Amino acid sequence: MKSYGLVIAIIMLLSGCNTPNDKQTSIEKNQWSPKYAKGFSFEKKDGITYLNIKNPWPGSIYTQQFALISKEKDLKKASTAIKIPLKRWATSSTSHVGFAQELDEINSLKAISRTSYVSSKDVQNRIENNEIRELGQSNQPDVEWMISNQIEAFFNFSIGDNSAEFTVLEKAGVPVIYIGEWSEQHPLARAEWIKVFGLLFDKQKQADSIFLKIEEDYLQWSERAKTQDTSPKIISGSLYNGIWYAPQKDSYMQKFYEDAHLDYIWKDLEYTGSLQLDMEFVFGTAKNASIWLNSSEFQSIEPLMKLHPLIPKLSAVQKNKVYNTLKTNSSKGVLFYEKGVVRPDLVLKDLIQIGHPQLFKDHKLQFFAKLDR
Amino acid sequence: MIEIAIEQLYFDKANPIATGLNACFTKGHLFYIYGRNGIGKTTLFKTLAGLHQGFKGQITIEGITLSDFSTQERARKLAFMFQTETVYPFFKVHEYLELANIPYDKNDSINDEFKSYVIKGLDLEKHLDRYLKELSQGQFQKVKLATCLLQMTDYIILDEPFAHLDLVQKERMNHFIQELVKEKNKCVILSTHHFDLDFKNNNHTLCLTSTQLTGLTNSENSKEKLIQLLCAD
Amino acid sequence: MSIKTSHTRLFLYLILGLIVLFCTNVFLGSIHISIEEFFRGLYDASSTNHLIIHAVRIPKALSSILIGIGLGLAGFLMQILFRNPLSGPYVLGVTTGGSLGAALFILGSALFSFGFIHPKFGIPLFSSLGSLAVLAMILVVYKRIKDPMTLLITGILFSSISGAVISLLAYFSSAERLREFVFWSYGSTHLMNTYELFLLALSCVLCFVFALKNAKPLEAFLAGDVMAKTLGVDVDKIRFQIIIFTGLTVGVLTAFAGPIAFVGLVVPHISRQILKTSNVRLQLISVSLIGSLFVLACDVVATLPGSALSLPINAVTSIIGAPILLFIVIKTKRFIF
Repeated sequence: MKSYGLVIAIIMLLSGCNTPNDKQTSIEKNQWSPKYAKGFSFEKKDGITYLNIKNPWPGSIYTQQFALISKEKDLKKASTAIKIPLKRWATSSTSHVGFAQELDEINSLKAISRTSYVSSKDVQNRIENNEIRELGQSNQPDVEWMISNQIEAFFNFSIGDNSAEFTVLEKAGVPVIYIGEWSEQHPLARAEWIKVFGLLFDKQKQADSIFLKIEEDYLQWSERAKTQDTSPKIISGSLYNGIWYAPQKDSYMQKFYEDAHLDYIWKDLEYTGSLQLDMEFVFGTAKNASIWLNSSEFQSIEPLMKLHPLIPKLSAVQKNKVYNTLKTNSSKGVLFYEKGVVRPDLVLKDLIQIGHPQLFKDHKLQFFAKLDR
Repeated sequence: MIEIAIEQLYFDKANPIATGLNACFTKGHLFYIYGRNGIGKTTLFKTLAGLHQGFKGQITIEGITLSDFSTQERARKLAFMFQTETVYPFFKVHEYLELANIPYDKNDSINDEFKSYVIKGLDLEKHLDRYLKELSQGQFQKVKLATCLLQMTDYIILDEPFAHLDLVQKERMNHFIQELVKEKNKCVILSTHHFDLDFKNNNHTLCLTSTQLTGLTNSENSKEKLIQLLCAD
Repeated sequence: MSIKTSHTRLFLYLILGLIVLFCTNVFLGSIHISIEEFFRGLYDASSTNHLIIHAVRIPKALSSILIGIGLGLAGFLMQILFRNPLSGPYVLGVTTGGSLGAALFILGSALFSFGFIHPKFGIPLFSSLGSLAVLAMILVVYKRIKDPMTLLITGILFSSISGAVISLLAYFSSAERLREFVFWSYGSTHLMNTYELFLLALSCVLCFVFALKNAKPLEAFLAGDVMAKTLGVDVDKIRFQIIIFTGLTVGVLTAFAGPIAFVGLVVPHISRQILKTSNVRLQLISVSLIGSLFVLACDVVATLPGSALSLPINAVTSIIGAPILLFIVIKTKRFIF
């Protein structure tokens, strides 16, 4: 028995060495790029690992580069250094909470913008116990507090250049890291940013294996969905004042629909940005869609039907297959934007459950809720 | 008959503009009122129109106090012409004249004969279809007077009706007003600066100073007397 | 009042134009329907287009007409009231009050909880309350200071205050709510059910009847305050009534259609250019007809027939209205009233 164990161990070791480098963040290599994500990469120079953020915001002309230093003596070598592992950090976005939760790094989170939008129960508890501070508006967080409370890094996101507002943080030695997972278009690309968090919390291996599992499950389940004969038609969006607002083409959601083997009715409309559709057109093209992913805040179908006389005639409404992104009861947060970002596999499973309920009979929806009558 | 017995005319009680205004204005008579600029002629007229409240005294029209009249009743008794504010330029002359109907709530209470009499007398026939903005100042002045007259009131009060008129126009208007007073038995009170004093028939001349409203009698030196009164202020 | 044959002819053309435009508006939409299918859709309840024509297009066309009449009348009355060509229905600040009410409902749910009131009911309700509040405040101010210039300034002040509060609410609200409010402020000719259309029609009729009954005093207004008073017009009372009727009409319009720009400002000017008369009765009819024509036309453009997309009505009325106003100003060579 023992010898078998040894043999197995040797084989595993050998296979470990032969693992292709795109599945493991091997910091021995000089350059490493993620498989799906486009917004970040790692580099090693002179024994120091660097994190590169390629587009801190869309259209920016420069890249952020951070030296990740674990030893005190190396801190002076690089100009923008982050001491890892991070023990005290703050963020302006709830999606970052999702990543941190997967890596079990909730306790090191010390402040967040708009605490009422957090979905995670653990974080909510910490907020209630005053262990996490409210930072205020996401574009104008409480910079003074962060400086005076030894925050080691501030995770931010931005759609434009507002870096000037954060120079004061940088001057005080608090690096501002622009996490750009939200601009990735592939669901797995967004999840892959967990590796950035992994590096910053010195939990690369954990991050790698989590991502590996996510990728595996995602691809596997997608394959299964694609074997189904039918591809149910799905529409998304909601009605305001007679105009139907639908998400744009080629977006993140479109990939999800494809991988869940769902047919998004308007996938061929050639418009960029989100669509403002006339209700007539919606009715004409989508009245036979069997699923509606609604984006309003209604929790039941009744009030939806009052919005417009044509809505009750939609097939999805008549078949009672209207869904909404689930909100947890105690907060205004949407789980889909938090955990959903880092767990696209589970989101996919939800979508497959909605479109092909026969595949995962016992699965309970986590990110979407059905609107009841 | 309009009777005024105003002790004080003021904007601000502490500084009265004019005092001691006592006069009687009767039908069939024409009253020319002279006075320096700013002495209070327009204010006096506005008081009669109910547009100015600052006075201490009494004003009665045919025995009834002015303040007892409703706006509409007063509009049927007294007609006024002031140097107006800017007016909507797209009025056609004949439309503007029709405003005179308003106190009567009817569309055509103006006597047709009287209407043509006024229009002819003021040479407005050719202008009836023109817009106000196309008229010269003098022509507009005549239109205003016409509207005022078409209100069919017994008492007509005009604030500087001869302003903007050339010599010929002024003569004709003066003549027409005198004719109106005589033939239609109207009472016209007007303010003016023109010095051709006219005492014939039932024409009266008054001078408004800060201390009184004086009537002048017909005599050789009435003009000098008037100038004296005016300069005294 | 003499209606000349030229006026009658003009009105006939306008009415004809209205009928044609109404039919065009109902015929065109984002879905292409052939003439044959259209008539079938009109009468045959089982036809697929029946619902679209009756539930979507006809109410939309009707509400466009009513919005045009209401805003045209309101703008016309405001321009008389203030004797100012730049006055529109919004100059009293009533619309911003309506926006504030809508903002309170849409954005304010972060701060206050309204239980669950459906937006179709809640938005018009709150918007009307907002308009009423501003209207009441303006009337109170007017009772004390009867000067139109003060009224104008008061309107601007209330508008500014409302605007500031809206900004505050927007600042603290979520992205979704903000988006909803922005969409509301685009204005809409859609989704008027029978009840809403009826209320809209009622306020237009009341406003029209009021103006018709007071046509002569309103004309006197044009001649100036002093002239009007000497003609026996109770200037203060009429002004008070104008404020009430205009305020109510604008309040109802804003509640159901959102704020719609430029119509009330430009329609009276177009009417004055076409019908060069000061006769208020004639202008009332003309303004109503031109108003409905204008909004119907803008609505046809906003629908972008044949395309899936549609434009917000506010953008179209501004883009079409502003150049027309500019053209009129240049043509008359000065911005006279």
